[in-house]
Amino acid sequence: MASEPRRTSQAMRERDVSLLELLDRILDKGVVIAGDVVISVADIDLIYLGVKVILTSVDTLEKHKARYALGMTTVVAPDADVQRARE
Amino acid sequence: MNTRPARVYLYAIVDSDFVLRAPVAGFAETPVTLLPVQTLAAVVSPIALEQLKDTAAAALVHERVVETLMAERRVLPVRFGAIFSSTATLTAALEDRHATLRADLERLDGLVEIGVRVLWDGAARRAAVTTVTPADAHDGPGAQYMRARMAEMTTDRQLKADATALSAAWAEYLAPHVVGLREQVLVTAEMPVNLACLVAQAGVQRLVDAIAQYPNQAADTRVVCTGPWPPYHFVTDAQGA
Repeated sequence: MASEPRRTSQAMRERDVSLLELLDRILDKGVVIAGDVVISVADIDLIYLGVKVILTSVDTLEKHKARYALGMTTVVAPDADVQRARE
Repeated sequence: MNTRPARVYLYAIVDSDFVLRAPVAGFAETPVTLLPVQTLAAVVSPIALEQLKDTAAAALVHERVVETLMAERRVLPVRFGAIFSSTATLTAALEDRHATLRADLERLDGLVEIGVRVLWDGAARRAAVTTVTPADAHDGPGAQYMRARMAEMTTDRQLKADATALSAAWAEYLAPHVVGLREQVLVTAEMPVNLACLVAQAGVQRLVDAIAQYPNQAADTRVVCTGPWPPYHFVTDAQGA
């Protein structure tokens, strides 16, 4: 059967961004100015676990991502997954 | 009655002539203010430590403030959780690092960060690269253990090598589109590549398009791209790197 050359990836743009993606950045990166109050973020280990889980599949990402319009999220995935995520 | 003194929370560093054209809500909806320190200004608001108990909610407040300011002018994002007992201690801390912060603010002017994560099925990948050696009938329990351990280490090395090669390929492909790049390899079993790309605001769409058109994407990988973020990964760290 003749078919168009299959693209292995396709872009899907959204306005949502994962809260865990945000936490991954702001808890570990950015300017460090040593304050004189020390706070302990006890759940920091859970955050990476969460990132792993949330990004395991596009479906999972869709279900779990926090819907805060902080920026643009683009998911590039095999065609079937993009289709499923749009449903 | 809560008699604990309010402390000062630091969100970001901006130029000293930055003007807040409209109120920007910080913790407990209290508007942030600017604290001038030489040629810079600290974006601050009062905070009670109890307001940080819900880390996720507090993180969103922090990020909203930084991104609201970033939409106006250049901003240096501060790591979450910088709290000071008074404006005097904050001022002293900023004066100590003024030269570095000033240089970072200039260097990162007009630049944003795009996150690129390449993902694969960790279990499937592991199974694919694992070589099963037939057990030797003469092996005792110790030899069997050592044989299994050696196979496990070989698999770990192969996965690391595959992830490193994948990261290098992505880095080379993206290099013409970015100003800077930070790489992490095999952050988790599911995430072989984690890239932070520094790019001019005007170049974001070109970068996203390039990512979507990556020609060598393996069928068992997918890519998640997020941003634009303030350039968290590209500020000079406390050690000067």
